[in-house]
Amino acid sequence: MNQPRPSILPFAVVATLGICAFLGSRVRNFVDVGRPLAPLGDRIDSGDLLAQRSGAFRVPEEDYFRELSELLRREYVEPVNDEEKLASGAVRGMVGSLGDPHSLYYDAEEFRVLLNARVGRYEGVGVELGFTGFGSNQGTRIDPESGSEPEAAELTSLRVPRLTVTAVVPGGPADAAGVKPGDYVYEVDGNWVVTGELSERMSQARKDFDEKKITIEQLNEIRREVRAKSERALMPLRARDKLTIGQTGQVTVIWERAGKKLTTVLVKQVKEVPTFAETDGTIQLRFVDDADRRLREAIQGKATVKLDLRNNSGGDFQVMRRCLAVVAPKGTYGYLNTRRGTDPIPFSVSMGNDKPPKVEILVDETTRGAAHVFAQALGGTGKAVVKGRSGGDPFVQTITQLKDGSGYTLVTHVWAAKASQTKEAAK
Amino acid sequence: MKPAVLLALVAVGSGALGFLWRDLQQGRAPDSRALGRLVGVKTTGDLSPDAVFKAAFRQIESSYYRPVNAQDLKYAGMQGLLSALGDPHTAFLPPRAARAFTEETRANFSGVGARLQPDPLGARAVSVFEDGPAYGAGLRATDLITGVDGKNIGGLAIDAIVDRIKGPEGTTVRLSILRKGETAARELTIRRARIVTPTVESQLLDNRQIGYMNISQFSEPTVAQFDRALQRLEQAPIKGLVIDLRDNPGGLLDSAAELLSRFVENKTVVTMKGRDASETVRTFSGATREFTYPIAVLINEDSASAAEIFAGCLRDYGKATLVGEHTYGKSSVQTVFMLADRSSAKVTIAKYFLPNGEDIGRQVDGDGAYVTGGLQPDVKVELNWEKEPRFGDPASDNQLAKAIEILLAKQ
Repeated sequence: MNQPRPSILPFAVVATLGICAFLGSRVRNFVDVGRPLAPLGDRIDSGDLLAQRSGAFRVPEEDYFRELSELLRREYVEPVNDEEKLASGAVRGMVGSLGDPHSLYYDAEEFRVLLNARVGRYEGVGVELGFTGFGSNQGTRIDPESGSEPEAAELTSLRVPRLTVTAVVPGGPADAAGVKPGDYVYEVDGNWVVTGELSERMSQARKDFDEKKITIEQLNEIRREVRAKSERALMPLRARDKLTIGQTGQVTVIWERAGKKLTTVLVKQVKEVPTFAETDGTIQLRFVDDADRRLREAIQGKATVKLDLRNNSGGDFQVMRRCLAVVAPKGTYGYLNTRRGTDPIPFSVSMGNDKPPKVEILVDETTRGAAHVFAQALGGTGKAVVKGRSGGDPFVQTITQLKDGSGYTLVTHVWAAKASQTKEAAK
Repeated sequence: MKPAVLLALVAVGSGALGFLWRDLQQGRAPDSRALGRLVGVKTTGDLSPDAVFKAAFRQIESSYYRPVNAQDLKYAGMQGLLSALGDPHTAFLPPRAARAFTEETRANFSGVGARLQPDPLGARAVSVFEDGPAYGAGLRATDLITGVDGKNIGGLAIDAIVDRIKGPEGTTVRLSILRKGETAARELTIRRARIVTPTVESQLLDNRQIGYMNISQFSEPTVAQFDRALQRLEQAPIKGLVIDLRDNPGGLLDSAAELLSRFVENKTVVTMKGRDASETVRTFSGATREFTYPIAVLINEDSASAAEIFAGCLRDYGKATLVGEHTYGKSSVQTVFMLADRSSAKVTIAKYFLPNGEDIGRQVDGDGAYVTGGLQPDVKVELNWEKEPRFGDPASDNQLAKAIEILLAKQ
């Protein structure tokens, strides 16, 4: 290689400086998607730094941790040494109080499984599970236009969502046994998985009996069932753990599909699904790691691209956006809205593909989250032909890991085709 | 330095600068965790537990897609913090609940002497204490209260209604009531008084050969009420006594200890062990009485605290057979600490142990479901719900029927 002449070097340095600085800030743009860009958002990670800078916190709500943990240290009947456990418990309580099936706390084991699933490593019986409203076999369906979802109250008066299969790992134990997305988990090892249905039936039966619509025998029949079930009840999150954690052992599961029960005996195993595969010209990809780079390589020189986004529910929103930029031209593909009255953030691609290929996307109800948004965004703007109906959950989540290995997801935005700036009242 | 290396260094350096430009532009310290977001997961890495909590609190408050009430979020966090101890009795009490708790534990309160339940039109009297002023003024169970002091109470929360009915001893309150089958409202004027809740009810069963006594809780008058009830039951010789502690949530430990003094003299009731000290509660001397017949004690999962101690002592000293189902498993003492914003924390400060050294503490799983703990019955009998059981009626109450059977078998 020829050495550049001295006169060119300064120019090259300046040019590189400029280009790379620009690229760096672009990268940062991608990274920051899903975080509010308002200064508020930066309170998130800066810890104590912020306390000094922001005078906005009139009520020192955060100082309660110290007050309470010191109280325990002083007074609790047993010595309290593990403050990390207290902090994780507090986070668990806060996240849980949101009552949101997509903002969840995960203990260390559960969190490990969550992260593994994102990159296609599954254990347990090979299913992904989510929560859906009782009585509905659909996920939380969000109207793509308005971004609004049916009120939980319409689905059930008691907000105990049902544990539902959102995806079946191809070739895994559940798949081999014929389990399908949309199946409910009804029983695990003889333990009934709690839903709101039972207490509703009980109170209805009691009412019917008081109004003499049913006999004492009929009431007792229902009581027997209710007691038998509640004595071996399993909370939905525990049931999820029993099915998704563990690399060995056997579990007996009864699934419910359209009112019918399906009993299966499944042996847990580890199952890896490639995060990127191309068969017969159809690309299956997960929105993790460097999916955008692999996608870019795979579509090189192709006029038509077929993407299979079925069984795709744990994708990363930012990776998805980078993949969008690989197959779509510069433009705005919907908005990231909140329900707290903040400005909608355009979901934009600023450095897209100037010569986009024809894109065909295959989806079904197992296409959720980032994959669902990907399909909706491209389909809705005419940039792709979408075959099938995707499963929903257009939520942008942050995932945070705590020191003890536990962690939580938090929904920060909802994607919708249109901008909306609604402001709900705080619960 | 080779120009290529220089170029690479410049590239990396300016790339990083670009990456962090937003931070610099906005006058912040560079956000090192932005890099962590490249892989999609944030960590709280080296933060102190306090900072972990703060970071999560701020993140949820500022970034959750729905509005969050900061105070409720804090309360949920505090509740979660205390739950992490795994002790079901250490709990956070928001300001309003904190008031209710102190009222509950105060033994003497004044009112009209009735228990109410919510109703769309106001409040329905579930039970009316026969010794109380409301009963004297004519209020009966199932009456519907629709107004207090001439004001309509339809749609009010039950707490708000109770607050209006309660008041200082000696003052009066006027209730508008609707009785079943009547169309016109009645007006009752009731003089508020200190309410002594009846805690002991008794009757003779099974052809008058078995005495039955239901103790609903241990409060100051319980011992006197027990003595009176026993006197009535023993007017004619009986072959056995059933003491029913089902659904008895406990109450005053002193009252339980005093009642135990009727059975055993100068014996340990419980040993309480706190962080630094321990204390033993004993029965008195000179208060025992002769029981010439066998005794059975009925227990269930809603028998707790002082009720479990009472039942456990009778068992440990060989005075009674426990019949029914396992008890709740409350084996600790709590104190309520006020916090800066008038919310408070109920914290376990001591544990107590039965005379035989047993710790009956309830163990729960992450969902709060019972795992182990409580007193185990000597004879386990599950309540048969199908007969619409009424406690104290051996025809429908199969646990009581079993207790009677056991007593009669000991003759």
